Amino acid sequence: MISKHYYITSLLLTFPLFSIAQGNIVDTLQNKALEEVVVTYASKNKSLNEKQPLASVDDYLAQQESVTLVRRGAYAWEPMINNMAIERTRQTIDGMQIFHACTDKMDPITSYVEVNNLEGMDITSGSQGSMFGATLGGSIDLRTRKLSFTEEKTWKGQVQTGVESINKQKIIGGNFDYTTKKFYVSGSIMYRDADNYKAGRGKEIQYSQFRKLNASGFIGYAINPTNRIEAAVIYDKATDVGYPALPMDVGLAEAIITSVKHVYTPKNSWIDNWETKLYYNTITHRMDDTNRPDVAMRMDMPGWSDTYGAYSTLSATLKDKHHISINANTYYNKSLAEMTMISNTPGATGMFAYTWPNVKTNYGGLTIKDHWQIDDKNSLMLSGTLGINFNHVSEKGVNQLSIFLNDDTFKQNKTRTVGNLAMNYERFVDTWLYGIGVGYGNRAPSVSEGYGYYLFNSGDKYDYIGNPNLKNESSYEGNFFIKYATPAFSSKLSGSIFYLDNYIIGVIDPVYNAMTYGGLGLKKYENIDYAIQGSLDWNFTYNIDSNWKVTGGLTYSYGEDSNKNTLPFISPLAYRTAIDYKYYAFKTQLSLKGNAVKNNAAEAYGEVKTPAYAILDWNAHYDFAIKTHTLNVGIGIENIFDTYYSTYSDWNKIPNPGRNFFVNLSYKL
Amino acid sequence: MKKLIYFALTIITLGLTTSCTSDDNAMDKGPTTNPDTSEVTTKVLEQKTGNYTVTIYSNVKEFYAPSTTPIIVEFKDDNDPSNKDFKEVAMNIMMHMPNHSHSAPMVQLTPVANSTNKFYGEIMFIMAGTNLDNNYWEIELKAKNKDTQINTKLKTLARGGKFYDRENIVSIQGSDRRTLETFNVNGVKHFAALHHTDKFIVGKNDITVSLYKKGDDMGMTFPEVDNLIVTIDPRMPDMGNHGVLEGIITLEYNANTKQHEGKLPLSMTGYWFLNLVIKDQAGEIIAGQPVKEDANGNQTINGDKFLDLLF
Repeated sequence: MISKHYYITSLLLTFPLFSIAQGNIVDTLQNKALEEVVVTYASKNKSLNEKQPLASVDDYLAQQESVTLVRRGAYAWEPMINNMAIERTRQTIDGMQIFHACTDKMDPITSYVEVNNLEGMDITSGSQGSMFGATLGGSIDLRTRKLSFTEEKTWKGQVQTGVESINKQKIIGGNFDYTTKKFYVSGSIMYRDADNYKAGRGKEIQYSQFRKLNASGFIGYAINPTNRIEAAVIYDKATDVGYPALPMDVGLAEAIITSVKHVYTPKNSWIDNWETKLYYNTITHRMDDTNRPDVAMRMDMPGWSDTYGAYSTLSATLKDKHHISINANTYYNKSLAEMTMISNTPGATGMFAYTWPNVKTNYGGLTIKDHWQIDDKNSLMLSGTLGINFNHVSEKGVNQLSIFLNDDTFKQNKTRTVGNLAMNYERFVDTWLYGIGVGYGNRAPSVSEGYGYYLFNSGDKYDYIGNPNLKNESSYEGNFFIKYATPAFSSKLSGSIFYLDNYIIGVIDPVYNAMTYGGLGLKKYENIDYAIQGSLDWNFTYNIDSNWKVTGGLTYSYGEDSNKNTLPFISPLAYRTAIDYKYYAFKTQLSLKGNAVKNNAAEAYGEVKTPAYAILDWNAHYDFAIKTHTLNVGIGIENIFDTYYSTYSDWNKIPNPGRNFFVNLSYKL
Repeated sequence: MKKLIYFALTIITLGLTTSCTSDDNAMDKGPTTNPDTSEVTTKVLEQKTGNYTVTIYSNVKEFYAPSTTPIIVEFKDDNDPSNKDFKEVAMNIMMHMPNHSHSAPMVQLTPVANSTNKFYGEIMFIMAGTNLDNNYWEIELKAKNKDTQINTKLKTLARGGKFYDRENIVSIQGSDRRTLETFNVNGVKHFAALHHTDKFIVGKNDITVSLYKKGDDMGMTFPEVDNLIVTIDPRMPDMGNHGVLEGIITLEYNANTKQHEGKLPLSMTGYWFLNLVIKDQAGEIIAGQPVKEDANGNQTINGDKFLDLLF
């Protein structure tokens, strides 16, 4: 243990040297241009991109720095922060915990919202992202649209439609806002219908279709000038969703997300804002293989996830210097999923097991953050989270998992303490801004890691078995950034490194043989000694004049376990650059994105090498004024050269869409 | 200060409202599993003797052979339903054929928990009896109620069982459970009986197997065998013949019960083929074969000795 800590310390100490070395590499690629990134902490108010107004939430996420996505088809990509997936990150919608209901991660919670009910997303890297619960890699909080009361009665509306050529996607939607002095109401609806997409060079990707309906609404009432209440609901239903990278599709993914909140915003008080919310959400997910002609065995694999929760967040300013946020947060989740294998033998009995054997999670935690503006030049961000995570698994779960545990020590109940600590120091000198931070995170295993049962991973072809006796995984994090900013030019270098102690990952257990047809064997989740992950990001923005702008940057990622195996889903060197032109209401952008070859594939975890690729996109839009209304026309071409390519994060290397023409129309009423 | 109190109260309220609910094992959203035939509740035979009625329940509608068949024998006083105290209960089993009669292995009757008129036992029907005149089984029951001695014999048939054929997967459909396997050791007929289990679970199951051999008295006794080793490899032939453990479980002989005991892991519900291999003390295979690989390298070729279960 001592040597381990020594190792961490020496890593943190050598990190600045490491980053300087990397900086040299960066210099050689300075012609690349790109967007602003905030990696070290809370990238506040990151609003949705306007380049393609009706792009999917996944497309927006893909443009966010430190976010990468695992793609299993055209729909419902799985977001990762700092190359870490949902187990190691915190993903919420308006602070609400929502847990996916699919054991195969086919429904990340980001798939249950739509662009026209989102206002933006807060992406926070590392331990600073613990506002709504413990995290290692960071957090994504999707912010839905907000309204405020208006003196005059105001009505706003918008209808939207769009088409995309690559999968004949039809998009239609609309939203409205009505506000008065004491009352507001808002609603939105959007429907998407897409056929199979074509990869580069016209190759049709079977089972990549989807249909999605999303509707949302919220209503607010001002009790008095300082108190208001709001009720909100989101309904999302996706049907006939193909997952070309997986052996099964999805017949239904349905979510109902509801909440009621009270907001207190006093004037002339040390309290800035105090928000208390009660929420409930329920997700039903049904996998479906009936459209696949060649399956070894038909399966029914439904899953359900129900979550009740509440939080109360108090924001205050003390002595004009301390911006304090206190969050008390609790939730209860029930995850249940099952697998029925329908025998190919006529009249024979099906086979059945619980893949998530009714696992209940209770969490209660407290987070305190203080952004301390020491003086004009120096500030310190401190945050701490302490939480209790309680799991209860059904007796059936205990019985079935006991087959794979060589002892009978594990009980139905398990209580764990989790938490985070983070400290970031920032200094502002003339045109330079720089900062350094450290963090600690400690998490409980996820439902799959702790209690999953025969979860087939079609990537490495192993069946995964949960392990309730896992120790908590913890992270020791170091990060830094240096930013130079003038109105014309800004550039930033940032990096973070994570030492993940007791890293949780599936380890082959040769005693057991595979259950699934074509499976290679069985992996049980275990704590391995440690893993190290890190990333280094550089970007710049150059405003050539009031019309032209060049942005660019690149990201290097690293991840290795204690046996020197590369970790899965670690990005190769990635770069992005774009040229923007703007003339009154006309805007256009030409952008290039690409990855270097990925030679260090995580072979121990079933990955294979991925060749380099570069993709060129173009878009333009213009606001036409029609009397008092506006029609926004957005057009674009993605993958202009119709390149056939897969990235390191394309599950089972399914190719990406080829050349895609899109037209988006938004008419503001 | 008031605000702080309100804040604290809010947190406490939140904690209470979201505390764990109590629907512990309510797997309410899932479908039920397969029909369960493990309960010994089906009435098979009933006979009046004096003022008493004797009823035999089993887990099947009609007996079949070969099988290890669980039975519950219930004694009732026709005149006084409250008279339930039956003692010195014993069973004997005999098969009558045109030229001779013989017995079969069995588990003697013992009282069912919390009952004085219901008794559990097992009969190993080692061959079919299909004619109530000259080829049938006879269950002889003895009991004592107060001062009355009850002696009765119930005739019954046992049809020939229809079992899974390891070379024809379709034969799983509608098959009878194979709970009694036979094999020969030096020309002496032996039996491996899988004792009844109330309910199998997905998980580790306690199972017991008894080995019997035909005694030297023309089949009137079947002594337990203690010098052979029972190994079981559980497989799902309906699913690529996958198993649970790569290895094979070896049962341990319990000298007190004279049964071979072990923990059988079943990783899901469905049809399980228990590939049976009997070895001697030196580890030499006496009966059955281990699961073998097919031409594709998959372990799909099961041995010829087996027990099976469905749940």
